[in-house]
Amino acid sequence: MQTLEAILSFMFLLAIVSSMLSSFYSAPLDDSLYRIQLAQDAWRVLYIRGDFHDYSDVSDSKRASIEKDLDTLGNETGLCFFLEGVRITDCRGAQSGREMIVVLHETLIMDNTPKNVTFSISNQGTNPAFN
Amino acid sequence: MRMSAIRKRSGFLSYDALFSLIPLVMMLSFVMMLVSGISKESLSGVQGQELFDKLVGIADYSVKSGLAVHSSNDFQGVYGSSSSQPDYIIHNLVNKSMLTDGYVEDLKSASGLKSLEISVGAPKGATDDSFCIYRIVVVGNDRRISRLFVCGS
Repeated sequence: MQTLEAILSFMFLLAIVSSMLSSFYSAPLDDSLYRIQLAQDAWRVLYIRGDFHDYSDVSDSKRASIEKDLDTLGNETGLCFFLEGVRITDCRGAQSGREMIVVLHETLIMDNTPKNVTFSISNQGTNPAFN
Repeated sequence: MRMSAIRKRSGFLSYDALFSLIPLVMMLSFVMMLVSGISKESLSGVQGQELFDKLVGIADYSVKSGLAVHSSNDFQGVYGSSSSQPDYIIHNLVNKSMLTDGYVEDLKSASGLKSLEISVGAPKGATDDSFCIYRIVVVGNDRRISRLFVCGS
């Protein structure tokens, strides 16, 4: 009887511990592939709309065109898009709590020369002015 | 004298067994409830991931093949030229006319989902238990930026 009690008590303990652990750690949805696809989508959209056609770093009209499209993407998705290397984003100004969602390394033909740029997406964070 | 001693002892043993068994049975039933709860939770997690993966697959297929513009004849002037080009697929450039009930129904039956809705722009018929994801696409001759929603359950 005592052995049975000990076994059942041990099972009870195990169940309680595993229940507590599973409540603390519930496996999050794995959306890593989806994030990459979303970033590729944004890059493709800029490409299809001709934003990178004959791109030149000194061309203000091209920059304005990309900024406008990134603004549209930001309004549609509620996300921040950054084109590092050419310093273009739809989220201007300092924000706190921004979390990087995905980073892509792409090649951009700039002034007929290939240049590596980093295209990244983050959430919009919160404006410290409103905190 | 000896018989009464045995009776007393067996009575003591049965009470002892009774009081030991009640908490044991309670503990056992509690363990069973916990295990069933944990397995239900993990099952719903797996099912949620499976649904998400299916929707991601359907959306990716739609953006890259199913709804994508398949040739220069489908969409004139993508790259500033209206001349005839060899057939090619332009990923993320969606031809809305290909988004028919038959297309959605085919994908729904192939993926084994209970319900499936694909729409350019906000979904209209998504129910509370359906899960939605979106992809960023370009639609129409004016190359308007939009979202392709895929909702399912």
